[in-house]
Order: sequence, then C-alpha cells, then structure tokens
Amino acid sequence: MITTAQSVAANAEEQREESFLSLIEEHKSMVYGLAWNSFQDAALAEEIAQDVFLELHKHLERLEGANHIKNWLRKVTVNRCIDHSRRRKLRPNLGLDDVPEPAAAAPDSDPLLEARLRRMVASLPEKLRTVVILRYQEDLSLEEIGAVLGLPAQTVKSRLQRSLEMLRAKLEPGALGRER
Amino acid sequence: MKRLFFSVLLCAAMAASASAQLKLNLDHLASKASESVDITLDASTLQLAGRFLSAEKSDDPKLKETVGKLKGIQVRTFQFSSLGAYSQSDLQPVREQLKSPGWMRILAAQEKDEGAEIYLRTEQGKPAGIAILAWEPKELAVVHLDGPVSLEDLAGLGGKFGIPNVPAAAGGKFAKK
Amino acid sequence: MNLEDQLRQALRRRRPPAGFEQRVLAAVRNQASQGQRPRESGWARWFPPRTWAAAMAALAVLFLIAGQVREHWRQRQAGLQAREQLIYALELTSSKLTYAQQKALQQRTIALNIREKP
Repeated sequence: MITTAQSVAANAEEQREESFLSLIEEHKSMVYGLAWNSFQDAALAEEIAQDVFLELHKHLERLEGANHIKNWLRKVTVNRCIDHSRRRKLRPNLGLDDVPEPAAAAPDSDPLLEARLRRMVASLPEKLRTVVILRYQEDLSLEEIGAVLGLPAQTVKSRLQRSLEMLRAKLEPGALGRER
Repeated sequence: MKRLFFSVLLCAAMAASASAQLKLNLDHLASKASESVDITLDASTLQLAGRFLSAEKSDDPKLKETVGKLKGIQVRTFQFSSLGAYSQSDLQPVREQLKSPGWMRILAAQEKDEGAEIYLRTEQGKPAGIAILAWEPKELAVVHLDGPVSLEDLAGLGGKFGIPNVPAAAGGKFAKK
Repeated sequence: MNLEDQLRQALRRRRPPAGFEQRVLAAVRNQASQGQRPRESGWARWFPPRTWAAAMAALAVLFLIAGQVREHWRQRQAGLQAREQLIYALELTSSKLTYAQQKALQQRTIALNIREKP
C-alpha cells in the first residue's frame, strides 16, 4: 500500500524528471553543437554533451532562471571541450559523411564550403577556435564570449580578428583545394 | 580378623605418610623475633627449582642429585634481641610429632642453654626424612627435609655456596667420604 | 555572403543523434542508483572488513605470543626465585647440621675429658 508521502515524493520526482527532460530538449543542440564543431567527432560530441547534462542534473537546484542555465551550460561545455582538446590532441574528423543534422535549415547553404570552413575552423589553435565557435554558433557578443572564457572583451576581439584573418587567407582565390 | 589386620595396616601406613608433613606452628615466635626466616618448598616448587639448577652450569651435579630426592623442605629460624624470648616448651609440639612411628632421634646434644637434635625418618628401612632442631640463647631453628635424602647427601653439599664442610675428624655418620 | 555569414552557416547548432534525451536520463538514473548505495564510513573505506579481520587475527596471534612470552618470563622468574630459596634453605640446613655435629662433638669431648680425669 503506497502512503500519501510516498505518492507525493513519487510525483515530485516525476515532475523533476520532466523538467529536466525539457531542459535537455531545449539546450541539446547548443551543447552538442559546441562539442561537435570543436572536434567534428559525433561520438565524442555525444559523450561531452551527456557529461554536461549529467552535471546539470547535479547542479540544477543551484541554477536560477533560463539565462543562468543557458550560460552555465555554455560555460561547462566549453570547458569540457578545452579539457578534451588538451588531453587528447584530437585531429578533426574532416569527412563529410558524419556531419550531424543542422538544428535549423540554412538557405543557400553550400555543403562543400561549409565542410571546408568547418575543417578550417577545427584546425585553428584551441584558443582561437573556441572564440570563433562561440561567436558564430551562439552569436555571442565580445563581452559575452569574454564572460564564458573569463577573458577581457579586448582579448576576445583580438583573437577573433586573428582567426578571421587566418581563415580569409586560406579562402583566397586560388587557395581552394590547397588548405594550409 | 584379616579385615581388622588390614585396617590397622592401612591406619599405620596413613600415619606414616602423615608424619612426613610436620606442622611447624611457630608463627607466635615470629612476632617476638628481630629476624626470622620462613621457607617452605613443596614438591612442585622443588621440581621448578631443580630445572633451574640444571640450567645453571655452575651448580654441582651432586646438588642436583640431592635436590632430586627431596619432596619438601621446611626451614624456620628466629633470632631474638633479648634472652628468654622463647623456651623449650615452644619446641614441644614439634618434638611430639617427631615421636610418631618412623621417626628416630639419632643425635641429642645440649650444653646449658644451647643444644641440637637430629631426627631421621625411615620407611621400610630406607631414609625418608630428616629433622633438625637447633637452639642457642637468642636463636632457634627447625629444619625438616622430606624425601629419601640421607645425612651423607647433606654432608656432600659441604664446601658449596659457603656451606662449611663437616669435619672428617668427627667421624661417624657425618664424615664426608 | 561574407565570411562571417558563411561561418554562421557552417558552425550552426547540431542536433544530437536520436534518443539522446533517453540516454541522458538513463545515465542520470544510473548515477542516482549508485549514489543510493550505502556509502562506507571513513573507517570502512580505509579498512575494509577483510583487512579488519586480518588485522584482528594478527592482533590475536600477537596477544597469544605476548601472553606466552609473559608466561615464560613469569615461570623463569618463579624458577629463579625458587632456586634461590632452595639454596638458602640448604645453606641453613647444612649450617644447622654442622652446628648439631659440633655440639655433639663438644659433648663427646667433655665426656672424654671427664673420663680421663684422674
């Protein structure tokens, strides 16, 4: 026979799980995307994403509000990616076959160009790569990127500029097919 | 009739064995004495001491042999600071016991208020115990050795650990052979 | 399209493979069940039962040995004490025997002297 207290507890747990599930659905593309764009490795990206959401589950009670949760997820995901890249020294997976489905369809997309850009971004140094991904995947401002990485906005700006110069240089006419 | 005979024999045997233990009730003298010695070593203690006699290489084999014969030792000595602290009546209870069957006085010597007596106990013609009473004006001693130890055995201990040799000139039973 | 727009398209968010949410929930439940296992106390973590048992057994053996050693030394002390008492008793016996013999000798001498007197 189930007591009232037990049923209340069971209900509470069920609600908690539902809330958590909705959080996963809301933020899974962001978290998975950050990981995938950093390494272009689907298995690693899912591993990192799962770790991040497990951490969220542990710290959920301490997080207040949607923005707090979002920023927290972003920061934790970036840190996990940085840890992995320093530990494993990954070579990016440059193939087109394993590209996950985009979260949103893009008009006039050029898959080949996109793949090339992704390869170029993945080959950037870790400090520059992270800035580029946060800027162009999440569309964060320099200050917001600085808040995630713990850097002054000016440092973020200079790293971003350097990254774009490197990418443009690789995309120069005549440079197609010859990636440095 | 036979039953009565055996009963008497049994009683005699029991009496004989009972006389092996002397009751030396002289504790009342200890309170008067300036110094006293009270040593009682039973068979188990003698056995234990005998093991350590064997362990000590300096100990004489004769000593070990003599100790091996002993079943018990009782020694009571009293030294008094004044005259008249004790009397011969204090030794009477001991003398009464030494009148039991098996005991025989083989020496009695007295001069004024000094003297000594030696008693031997035998069982079936063989030594079974020795008792010594010795007294001086300010000193009294009673010694009882239980076991098939002879006076010759004790004489053989002379010259060891400061025990004076029994002079051969005395002749007779105490002479060291 | 400029480079930045191209980058935005190339680096847009990606959906994880199907069933990702269920896999996360399963991992959360697994983590929760591990957390419910009774945690060992500090002592049990450092000294698991097997180690405790072995340590207690070793202590018991040590106590036994210590007890036997103590008993050995006690017996040795008792034996040495008994030996000393025995030797002392024999010293006293021998001295009293000598005294008795000397007394007997004195008496005999006196008797002889008396007999020899004219």
